[in-house]
Amino acid sequence: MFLKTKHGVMLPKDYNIDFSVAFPNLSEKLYISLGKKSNNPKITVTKNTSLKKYDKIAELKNNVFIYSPENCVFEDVKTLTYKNEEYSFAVLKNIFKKSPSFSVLNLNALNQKENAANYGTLKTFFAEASIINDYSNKYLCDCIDENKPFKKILLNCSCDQLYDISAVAAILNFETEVLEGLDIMARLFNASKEICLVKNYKTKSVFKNFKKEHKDIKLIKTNGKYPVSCKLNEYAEKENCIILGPECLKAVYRAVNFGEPQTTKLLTVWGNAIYNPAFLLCPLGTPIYHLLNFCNSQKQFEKLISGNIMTGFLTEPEDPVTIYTNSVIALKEKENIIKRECINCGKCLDICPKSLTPFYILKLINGEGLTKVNFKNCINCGCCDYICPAKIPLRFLINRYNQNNKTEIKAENKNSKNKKSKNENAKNDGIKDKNNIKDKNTENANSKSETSKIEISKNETSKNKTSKNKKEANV
Amino acid sequence: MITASNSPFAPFLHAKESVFSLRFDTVTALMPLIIIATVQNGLRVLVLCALSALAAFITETLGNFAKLKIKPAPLRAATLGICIALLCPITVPIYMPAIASAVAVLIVRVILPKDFKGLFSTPAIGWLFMLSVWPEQMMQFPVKTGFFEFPVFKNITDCNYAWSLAQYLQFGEKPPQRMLDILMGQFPGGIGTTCTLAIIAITVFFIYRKSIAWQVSLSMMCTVAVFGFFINRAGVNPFYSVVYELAASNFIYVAIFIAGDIINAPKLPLSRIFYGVLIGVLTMILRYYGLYEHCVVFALTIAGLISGVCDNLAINLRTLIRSK
Ligand code: SF4
Ligand code: SF4
Repeated sequence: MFLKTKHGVMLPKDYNIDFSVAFPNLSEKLYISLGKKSNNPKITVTKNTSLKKYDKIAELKNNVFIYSPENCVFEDVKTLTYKNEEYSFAVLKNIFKKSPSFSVLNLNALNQKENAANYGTLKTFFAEASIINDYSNKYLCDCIDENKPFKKILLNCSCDQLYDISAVAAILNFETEVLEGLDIMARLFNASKEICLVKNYKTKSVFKNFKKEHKDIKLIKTNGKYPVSCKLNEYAEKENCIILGPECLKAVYRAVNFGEPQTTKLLTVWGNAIYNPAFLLCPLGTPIYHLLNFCNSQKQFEKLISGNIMTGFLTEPEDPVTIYTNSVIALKEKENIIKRECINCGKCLDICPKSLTPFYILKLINGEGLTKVNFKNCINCGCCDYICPAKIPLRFLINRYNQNNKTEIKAENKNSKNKKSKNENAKNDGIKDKNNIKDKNTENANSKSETSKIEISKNETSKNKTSKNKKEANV
Repeated sequence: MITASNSPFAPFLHAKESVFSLRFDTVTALMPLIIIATVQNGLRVLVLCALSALAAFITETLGNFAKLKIKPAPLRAATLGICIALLCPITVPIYMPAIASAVAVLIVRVILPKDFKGLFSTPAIGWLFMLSVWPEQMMQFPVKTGFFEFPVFKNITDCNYAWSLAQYLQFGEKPPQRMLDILMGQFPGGIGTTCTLAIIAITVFFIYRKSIAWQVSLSMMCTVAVFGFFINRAGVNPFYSVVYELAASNFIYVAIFIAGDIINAPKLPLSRIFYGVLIGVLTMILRYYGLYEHCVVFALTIAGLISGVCDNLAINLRTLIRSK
């Protein structure tokens, strides 16, 4: 089967990187992400407690447990602010003691239900094992919905972004574990198995005999046009299947067979400021400077990016590896992108994988032109931004407009709800106030006019520029 | 290997294509036409093109000094100037395309309100200006017989003029040119608009570089071809009639370089097709019922007015289909 992506971009692919996975030595301190502070993560250990590998540290809102990735001492909880939101991190100090891993999960209960596809039990199991779906960067338990049982499990090994090939590295290096994991998931959920990879890919030879060796796994090929996920998600929706990354399946295998929770992340460290780009399997919470050091980064670089090149964000060397860190990219040599006004070329419309109209969305944002433009389906892929010859930050603008709109709609809904209840009370009291309706209308009109004109705030950009430019890694 | 961009937001990777490269593509694509025209008519072609481009650039620069919200862009001015110059017959006085370029810049970039700016094509406005101010000069075409060296700067007064293809078709007569001559551009017409084969080769380059709204050009040409096939004005073989209709009054040149310009064309594929068909239909209606030779420029201006509406309709149609 061949899934062809018509729109989107064929990003340059430069595979000058060794596919073997390296294991960096352990950093002195680990910063384990506990999510948003407002979610009140429950810390289950006290300060200065010695922890063994896989001891529980905390419990999150969605019943996900957080485990110690190594033998450590729990020091404290640290709060960091990202995008005006406070996040908690458990600070662990490495004590370099080895101890055998041990089971923390109740496998017996699971084994009995192996073929029963008991979603509730399995969800709890995956939450307890803290397994992350590296395809969507969500906890696996959150990807499973009791009300939407799936028939197929699709292992995604396709890669559409420059160097974002950790999925291929994972399957090449941990083939047995990943395929075993796929098998376990298929048995647990009574589903069929599928694997997706990019056609004409350098590792095609590896998959050459795949069909013969694994007759029960259906092979799906794509042309590798970014974003592959757009087409895959459509396929998943249509075929009723769940898409999982190889690292997730490896974690399933280890959780089921050895009772090990997932405490590591496979990521790519690359960029022109990195002498030895590599795939690294490192504990969650490892500070990024530690990885840069391991891969021989240059001391000076212009930009440090966490996540993918198309959708990632600027980060600091001191920031830890979290479940979202698919890759760390260190770039030197500044390329001066000259931003201009929109020249009406319409290239952004041709390329959008969701067939949206970024050009008209931009007009809507600036309060010109059409008023009815669909922008809610935007998947934030950044293709429009990539292709725009005027280098307008379309992805950022659309994303922000979308978010502003969402919060405003929420606020409006709240207001209208409050007003409704007030009106009802008034009605009950026998008072009919027509002015209320007028107020409501004027309020809506005001809020619309406020949102119509949005420009990138200069302060925001300049602040970002000054703080993020010219970083020196602690190497 | 990529380098760090100065953008603080993702994506951190951008296509190499820029506004400059897009404009450079257009200027590059116009070069073969200039070269062919220079070989056929002498250095006067270069003078006409250079003066016209210079006039457009000077107007933009003066506009910038006068704080008229025009940012001078040399390549944009060059494209406009050359585009206008190539539309004129070689016999026009050398100041004519220059004045037209300056006026086109003033009208489109200064006088027109913001909402109308994207609707009208600047070269089309320049062309329209020349047709209304100097109609005689614009419709006198010298006889093209291989290679002829016209004076570089002097006004041309003693010259053999001939009927253009459009004029023959208008009077229901068969043009005397051979088919090969028409394909090679050996027939009376604009300086750089007659060499059909070269224009088709440039179209391939444009499509490869994605610098053209090819849906507009193609649908325009197909519409005119269909009309030409079924309503045979010259009473010749229908296939010949198609070629005559396409080659007459700079039609192919306008379809590729002016109507196909991505900046003025509608943005959605469906609306582009509709827009192209509309220009084609209007052109043919004006050719049949009008007396004017250069109907395509009128068709283009009328269709330009509703190019935004085309997109609006296409967006609404798309939303409707999705919601169902
Ligand atoms: S509008 Fe959204 S979905 Fe479309 S290309 Fe831009 S970022 Fe991607
Ligand atoms: S690609 Fe950029 S310049 Fe072109 S229409 Fe879209 S926003 Fe405008």
